[in-house]
Amino acid sequence: MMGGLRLSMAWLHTWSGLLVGWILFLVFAGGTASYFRDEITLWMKPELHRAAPAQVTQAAAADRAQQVLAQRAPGSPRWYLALPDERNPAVKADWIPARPAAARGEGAAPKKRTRRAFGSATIDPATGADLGKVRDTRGGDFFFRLHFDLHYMSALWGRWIVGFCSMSMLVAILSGIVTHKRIFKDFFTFRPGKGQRSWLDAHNATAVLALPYHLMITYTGLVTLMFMYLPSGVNSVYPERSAAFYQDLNGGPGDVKPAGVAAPLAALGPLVERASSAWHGAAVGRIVVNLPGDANATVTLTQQEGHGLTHDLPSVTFNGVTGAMLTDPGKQSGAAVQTRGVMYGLHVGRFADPLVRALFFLSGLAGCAMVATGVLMWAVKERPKHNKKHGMGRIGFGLRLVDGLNLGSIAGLLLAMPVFFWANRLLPAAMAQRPEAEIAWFFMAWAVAFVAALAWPSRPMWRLQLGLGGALFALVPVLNAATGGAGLATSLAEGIWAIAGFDLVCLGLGLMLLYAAARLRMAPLVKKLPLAGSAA
Amino acid sequence: MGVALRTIAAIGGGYGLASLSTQALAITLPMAPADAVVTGTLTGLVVYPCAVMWCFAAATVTRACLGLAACCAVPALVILVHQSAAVAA
Amino acid sequence: MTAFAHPLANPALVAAALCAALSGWMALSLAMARHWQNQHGRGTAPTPQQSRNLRAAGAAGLVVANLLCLFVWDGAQGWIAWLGMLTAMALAAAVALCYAPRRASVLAVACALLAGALLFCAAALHAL
Repeated sequence: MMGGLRLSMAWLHTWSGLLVGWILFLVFAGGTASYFRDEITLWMKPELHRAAPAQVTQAAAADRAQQVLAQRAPGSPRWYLALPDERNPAVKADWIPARPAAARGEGAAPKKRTRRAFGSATIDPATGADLGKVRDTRGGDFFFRLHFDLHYMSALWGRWIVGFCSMSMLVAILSGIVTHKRIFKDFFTFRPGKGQRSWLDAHNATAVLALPYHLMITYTGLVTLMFMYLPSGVNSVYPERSAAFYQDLNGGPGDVKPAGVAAPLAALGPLVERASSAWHGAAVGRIVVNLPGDANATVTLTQQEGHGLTHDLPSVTFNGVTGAMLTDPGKQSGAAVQTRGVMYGLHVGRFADPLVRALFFLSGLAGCAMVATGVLMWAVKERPKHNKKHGMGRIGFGLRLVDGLNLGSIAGLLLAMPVFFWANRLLPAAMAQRPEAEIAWFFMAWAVAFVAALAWPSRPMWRLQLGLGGALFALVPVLNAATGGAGLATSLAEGIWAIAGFDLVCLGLGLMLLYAAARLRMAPLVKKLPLAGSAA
Repeated sequence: MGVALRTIAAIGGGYGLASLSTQALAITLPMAPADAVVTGTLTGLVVYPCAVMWCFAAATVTRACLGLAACCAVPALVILVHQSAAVAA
Repeated sequence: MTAFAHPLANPALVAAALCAALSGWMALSLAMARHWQNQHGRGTAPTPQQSRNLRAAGAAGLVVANLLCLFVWDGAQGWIAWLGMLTAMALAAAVALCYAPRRASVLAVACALLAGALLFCAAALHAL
């Protein structure tokens, strides 16, 4: 292309970054929030703040949950149980609802595959009581899903869009590395107050100083959905039988067919203990029961997160009636499959303990800053060219559009996020379709901000949106205490770090945004020329 | 015009190369089938951005497209040979 | 985190690692003419010997942080923690060099001393 490798890569870096930057900011913001998915969900269920369920052994918790599910979901073909750990005090149970008796008896396939909603319950592990007076909310899972499924569209579309943007980001990173010849000379350089130079420095700093993270998170992000993006490998080696591939990949009991003969499910408590001892004391994280109450029932237990990086946690399967061990707990996958497991695990980061998780979160924020400074810097760079062409202060349509998109996707999103939390507390606890309503508020706020941004992309609009977002974020601790949650006084005193941390991080983000809004008040860098005839 | 052609070559042709190389590796690597598929797909994800960068780094549009086509020929041939060997067996 | 028994010892080690990393980055930055100039005035530059020493000291700081991370966390999480610390402290160093360029060497030395003190405290707590 024109001017050699570095120039062509610089061009590629700019456009592969800019054109997907607005969606990428959403992906980075949602993904960074997802590091604290469980904590966000807990904060959004104030009914659970005081309920500190008594500490019981995992085996006892599993037995309790079994009793509850035997009553509430007897005919279900599959139960999912998540046992309590440091981040989640209660047992989370989900189940596939039983098919109606008529369809089961006939054996005819239903004419239409209707999507049945999963049944779910949050269970106190000590008493078995349903902690179900808890308000219905998606919690942190909303941000998690948002950052790869997007929303208001089929998950397939969302994943393809995010995948395209992520691959574009990977191209931007690699071309950015090739292009930045002063990558080490400029390593620590940040010069504020110098206009375009400062934006470039900020972009370089957040991009280069966290480069290993950005490279890792982008590539591993693509890896998590790689069989969807590049299916030719799976399809050529496992033609027509991709289920067999996933079986080889993930282990597990495979497709279990009902025997149609009733048989009591073995007690889960002893199975939990046996699995744990097979793993030299490591705790059990999740239990999946296939066909409880049937003679062909199986119970698969998966190890708790936090040991090792891999996403493919060790699991063991037992016969659900006799309790015989069906899989070898020491079985190892091949090197490539293990590598993929580690990459998946690195992306999701659930292995991380609180400090490492905080470092991931910080790196994610650096990623958001990198994307934001990138798109903003482009607009700053373009402005003088437009001023030359159209006259001082006036810009063409393209740049105005970019200004509006920048404002809407950055400040607008930062405004919509706290609105989501405010909606969680202000909407009535027992309303129908509650999770969808909270999400609707998020998108309504964002839509309004976006339209306003496109209508009038200007410094005052930036100040308004950043200021509003900042205020809403900063007041979250007050909102928490005022609407039934464990306020900072309580959460700090009792050491409930999940809730205290959420309040403090929101406060910190809010103050940062307010500071940014305030700094925008300073006079622009263009020096005012003295008017002819005025006193010298 | 050149930019548009390069972009199409990069996005479409790059994907084609990535897909072909994934398949070629998956069917020929001497490992357990699941491992071969994983290795092939992981590699494909790296091939794609490299192909995109080539399309814009090449001195002329013609060279970009020809280079891409030449690279695609390699895994395509591997796949053809493998398929005919499988049929013959 | 499983390394030391006393509940305050591990946080002390982690803090020591963070200080060591920051000190290391500051030393590495001073080895560069641009940042040396910001501290010592225009036109100055470190001599090749000074540059080498600073680079060695900087690398040592990063290595110390690595060893502490591997000690506090088991296995792979230790490496991830170290990389995360390097990222966080590199950003901190960039901010420090921007807003306090004339105090760069003071900061580097202070962090190194603090790291040493924290290590000492952690060891003392463990021995008790």
